[in-house]
Amino acid sequence: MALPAMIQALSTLLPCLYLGLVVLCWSAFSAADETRLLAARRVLLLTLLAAHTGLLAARFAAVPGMPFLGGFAALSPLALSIAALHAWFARVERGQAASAAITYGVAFLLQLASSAFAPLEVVEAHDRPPLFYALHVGSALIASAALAISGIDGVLYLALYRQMRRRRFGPLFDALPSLDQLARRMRRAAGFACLLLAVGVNAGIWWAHRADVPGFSYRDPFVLALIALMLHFGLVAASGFIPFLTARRASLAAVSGLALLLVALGYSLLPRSFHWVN
Amino acid sequence: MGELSPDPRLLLVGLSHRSAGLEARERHAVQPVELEARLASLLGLPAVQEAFLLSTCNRTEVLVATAEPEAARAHVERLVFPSARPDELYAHTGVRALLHVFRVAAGLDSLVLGETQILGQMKEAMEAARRAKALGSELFPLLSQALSAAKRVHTETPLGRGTLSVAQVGVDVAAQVFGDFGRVQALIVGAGETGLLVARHLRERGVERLLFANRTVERAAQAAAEFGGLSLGLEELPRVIEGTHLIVACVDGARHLVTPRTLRGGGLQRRDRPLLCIDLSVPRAIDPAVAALDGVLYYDLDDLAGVVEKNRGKRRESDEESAQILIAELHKYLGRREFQAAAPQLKALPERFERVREEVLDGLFGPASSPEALRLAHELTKRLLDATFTVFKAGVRAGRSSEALEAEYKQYLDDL
Repeated sequence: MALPAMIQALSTLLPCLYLGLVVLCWSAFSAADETRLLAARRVLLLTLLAAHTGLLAARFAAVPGMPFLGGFAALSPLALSIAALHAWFARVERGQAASAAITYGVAFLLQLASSAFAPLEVVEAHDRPPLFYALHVGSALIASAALAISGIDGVLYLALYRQMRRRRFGPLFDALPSLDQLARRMRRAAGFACLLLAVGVNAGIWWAHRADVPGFSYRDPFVLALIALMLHFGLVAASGFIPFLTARRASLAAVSGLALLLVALGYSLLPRSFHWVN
Repeated sequence: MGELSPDPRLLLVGLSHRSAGLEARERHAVQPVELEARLASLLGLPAVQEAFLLSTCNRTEVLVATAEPEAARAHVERLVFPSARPDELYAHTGVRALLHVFRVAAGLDSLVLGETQILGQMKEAMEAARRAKALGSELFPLLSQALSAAKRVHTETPLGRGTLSVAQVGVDVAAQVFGDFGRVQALIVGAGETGLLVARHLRERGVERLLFANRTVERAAQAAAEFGGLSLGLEELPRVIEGTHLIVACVDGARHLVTPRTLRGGGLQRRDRPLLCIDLSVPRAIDPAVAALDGVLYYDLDDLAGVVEKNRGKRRESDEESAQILIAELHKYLGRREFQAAAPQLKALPERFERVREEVLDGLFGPASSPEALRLAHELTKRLLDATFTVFKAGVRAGRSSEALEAEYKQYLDDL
């Protein structure tokens, strides 16, 4: 099969696979039965990860420059990172069907947008990008996925905490992981994100200096936001050791960090940002 | 029971929480050590060929295989239920007895709907009956099928999900906060029956540290010795709040032993996890005002009763599913049993067919039958025999329609 045709086929297939996974996880969540369709969920997840890796490999082979630049094209590896990281972080925990339904739902939306709007011919440079640049993009994407997972777990923690404070034992109480597990996962994802963000930001800065990227400045709001995010999520990751920064406050911080990430990403897509890629 | 052709050899007599009070149940309970002797006595009764006796805190039931159910009933009642009033006892025969046994095994007749303890109790009773040589070709397959139907009900329906005990629900709520209890210090206020039950559940979940606070420190010390933990008096409560993650109060007659003031000294602002307070006492031993404190999750009996009721509702929802499984299993059992009953006649059929074939061949062709005629006669005999078996099996199935069993099941439930 020619690469463009394969990319086309996989781009169409992937949102369907994500949606299927969301439906299976949701059915386990709504039935409050963790084991429901477990084998089918695992098979579908593995198929999805394989198909998605195949799509990215095909794009890498087909597109002469950096294949994941441009807003919508970047959403696809972000979706894959979210799915893969969630599968890894939540692999042995009770109540993972519930958080999986929500997290894979986010990944589904990202992949759907990418499949629908990302152009095939994303070409910035005709040569393969330098290693530092690839490191910058790759680690920033995975860090964003980890930040998203941390933020989603923060939202789930706050929702479950609120329900328990109101002394209601609704569907979230039945289906979500425990408060402790959510807090642990949120901090683990935040730590992972902080580390990768440090690598990604530093590699990007190094590359920006080297390639003399026009408009790059340390005072650029996007650069400042990324550095703030790195520190912010570092604080979330270490919150277990900081008095007064309770799990609930750390969850609030993770959620606000997620909001800041979305704002920063939105800003980076504006033409006025040096980070904008046409 | 007409069309269902009930098994006239089965009789079940018993009393349970549905028909008799606690006192009557206590009076007629049979201790495990007495089981074999009692079964031997049952086997000594006229007309009783096989016997099974199940005795739990909620029921004592005798199932016998008998040629004369009416006579056997009187004997069984005199032997096992000598002082029971007629309205405390129930008796079922035939398909009704089967339905009852299947429902009991599945926990559908239990006080706590869907509990699985009954499965173990039935297995133990079966083991005792086997040792007493009281089980034979009638009761053993029946009880085995009932157990396998019960297992299906528990694995394929939500019947057994969600606990119905307040103490366990309390621990389940704690599990939703802490996940595993490996790094949890639990303080149990009150060392009575409920407190010990909570301690047992917490220990089973692997709680790291247990503290028992009680008015009588000796009682707390006993509990601490039993479950491994520390004991203290009620006046020491504020001192231990700081490192405690879970407080469960199960005290009688003590009002507001734990107040917002007690908790404020426990560093609520500094702790990573919320402090979980569960009050199982009447009147409440934890002041409900603690619920307003930041970082505290508080639940009392009413909150937990809501969860128990929700679980009960979920179990009831599975009634229809459970009934379908029981009926399917019963159908299977009855078909197999009927087939086994006809086995001697069926076994004799091939020989009979062959004899008729030889007679016909002799009559038509004498001793010098042609090979073609012999082959034709053999083939015809074989096919007719196959067709007879097929028609018989279909007849067995049709004779025990699931619809008829379902109707009988509904009638049985209405009569409960």
